Amino acid sequence: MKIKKILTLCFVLYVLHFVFITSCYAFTKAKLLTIIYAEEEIGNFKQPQAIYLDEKRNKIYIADTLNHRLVSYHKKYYKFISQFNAEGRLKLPLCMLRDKEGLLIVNNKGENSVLIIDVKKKIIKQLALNDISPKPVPGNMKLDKEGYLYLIDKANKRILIFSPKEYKFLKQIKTKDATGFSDIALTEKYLYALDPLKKEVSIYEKNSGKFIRFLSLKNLAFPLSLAIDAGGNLYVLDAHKCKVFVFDKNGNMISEIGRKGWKEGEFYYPRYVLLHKKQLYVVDTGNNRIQVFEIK
Amino acid sequence: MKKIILIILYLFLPVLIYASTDCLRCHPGVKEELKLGRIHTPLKQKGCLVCHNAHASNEPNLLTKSVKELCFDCHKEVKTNYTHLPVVQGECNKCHNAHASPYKALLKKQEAEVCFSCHEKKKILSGKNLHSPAKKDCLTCHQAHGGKFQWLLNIKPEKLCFNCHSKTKMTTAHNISNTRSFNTQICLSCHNAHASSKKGLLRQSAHKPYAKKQCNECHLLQGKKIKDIKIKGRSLCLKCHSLKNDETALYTHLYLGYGENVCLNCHSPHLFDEKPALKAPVSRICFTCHQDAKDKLLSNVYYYKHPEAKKGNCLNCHAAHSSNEPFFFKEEVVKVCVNCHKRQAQFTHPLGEKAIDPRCKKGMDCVSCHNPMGTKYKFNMIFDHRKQLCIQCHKIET
Repeated sequence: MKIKKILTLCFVLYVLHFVFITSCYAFTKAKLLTIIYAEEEIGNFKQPQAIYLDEKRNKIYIADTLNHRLVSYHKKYYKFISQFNAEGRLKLPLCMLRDKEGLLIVNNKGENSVLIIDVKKKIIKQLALNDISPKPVPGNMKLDKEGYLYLIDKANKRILIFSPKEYKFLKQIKTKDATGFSDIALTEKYLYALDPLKKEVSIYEKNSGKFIRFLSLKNLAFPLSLAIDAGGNLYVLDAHKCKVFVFDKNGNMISEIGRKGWKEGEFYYPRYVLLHKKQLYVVDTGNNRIQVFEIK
Repeated sequence: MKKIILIILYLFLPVLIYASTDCLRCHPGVKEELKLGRIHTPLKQKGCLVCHNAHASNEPNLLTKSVKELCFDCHKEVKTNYTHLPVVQGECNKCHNAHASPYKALLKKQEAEVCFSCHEKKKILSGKNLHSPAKKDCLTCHQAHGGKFQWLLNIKPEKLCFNCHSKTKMTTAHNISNTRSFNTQICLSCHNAHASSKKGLLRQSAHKPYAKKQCNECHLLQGKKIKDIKIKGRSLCLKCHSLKNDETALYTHLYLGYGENVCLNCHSPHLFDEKPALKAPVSRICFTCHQDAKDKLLSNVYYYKHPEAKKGNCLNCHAAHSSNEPFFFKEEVVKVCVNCHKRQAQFTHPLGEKAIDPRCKKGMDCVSCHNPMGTKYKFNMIFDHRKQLCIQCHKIET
């Protein structure tokens, strides 16, 4: 009788342990919603590097970099709308944003400049980077809700902050010993900057630029892009492992999305990730496509 | 009574069998090994069956477990920041003889000679002038299994040289005013830590300003003393070296790296052994950041590797500074491969826009099927070409 009780207890514990483990790992489930390929009439994407979601205009913009153009799609129906190259001015557009006034801000990698484009009036200005010393080389950028522009300066391993509307340089955020930043993510209070060689995220107070702490991310090969959800979980795209890893606020890995490959749900050296509400957009650069997942 | 006899047999039979087994009758090679000197303790005390199964096993040499598991049954597992690759891969028998050896720690050869089984002696001791610690043995400066510091050093790399060479004397001898900034990295920018054909263990070639003794090109001088760098960051290098095309390329190595001046992650500002002004052999520089590529190339699992990749000739295919192609290829993938594989270009699966990969709707190229960095399959195929590869794209109609 005693042996029977012990065996039953062991079995129950085993089952509970199994359920616990799978529920932890099942924390972030991702369901593939759609894959965005370029329309035949406009020709394939060629190494797309970034994506931007314009909620106001219900559009998705894709930086189709080696084709020197931006391509827009309907946000809900994923249908092609138009392509844009600023009448030949775009050279290797790396990433783009659209501000509240409707101005398009584009990192024009081929000229190492940031263009501010008024599409309606067909006016193109450049972000005043020449006045900043030492001279910056623009990388990825983000806009916060107030309209402040945060731009990675790759050459000097810092983040430059520009004022809303007029985009005047205000200040910089710099960390000692950083190897550089590949991407940033913003929440209401904080700025997260991803260091791909050190595999860590530096967290700063957004308004003051005050350094808060480092978050060390383990088991990554080459983290390149970063997104944050409402719960403070980090979605880190590892370009070499071809996966999106999900970490909690303390840097503990809780799940992973995707794997290396060419099929649906697989990535081949992806380079950018964007999270909007429950939708995860992965710029699957090596496969010349964008994959959209629903996060549960 | 019967029960008692059975119990006795059950308890003592293995011992009886054990005691009567004479493996050496059929394994004379091992018998000869045992004459060499130090015998491995488990073998001495308990015999062959401690590690081997007399009948059958899934492991080579009829081992009861894998080499790694067996060794770590008795020897503490190595868990360090930097671990020697044979230890990581559980290949203790690469350096040690499991049965007996005349050498310390059951090494297969004398200490330094073991290291040269993998680390090419010609390249390391490349000159007639040898650094004194290198004359003794490698373990004077390096750990054999693993350690806290890069390059498996015994001491913090920044302090290594000053363990023997007085920092004060060196600072004076080199006319440096700022002692704090003087560290081992600076020593290694001129001196080879192992050997050199030149006196003072100096490296072979010189950066032009250094060769012309124009220290003031890069440094601020206080009389004859070197005070500081003139311009911080890579702008200093850009004074003479134009990188315009590299700066506007899609993928570039020019910005990411340790220290204020990322150029110095790869290049030496003073003396060098490898052109063009490289701090170390190409592959060692690449693998400092591309750890995953290194692991794959050194792994036993991915048996089929491109021979140029194995030799560390990364720059045969990849651009060092920048590229608009994926993987930093120097040109389009097909052109890079065809540079050497001319014959294969004549007869090949259709490539490019004529052959759209149905999995991703992208034109096919060489890396659709091959991975030169290492795969489990012959011809560096990503899938087994006999049964898996073609059906990735071609459906079999029945």
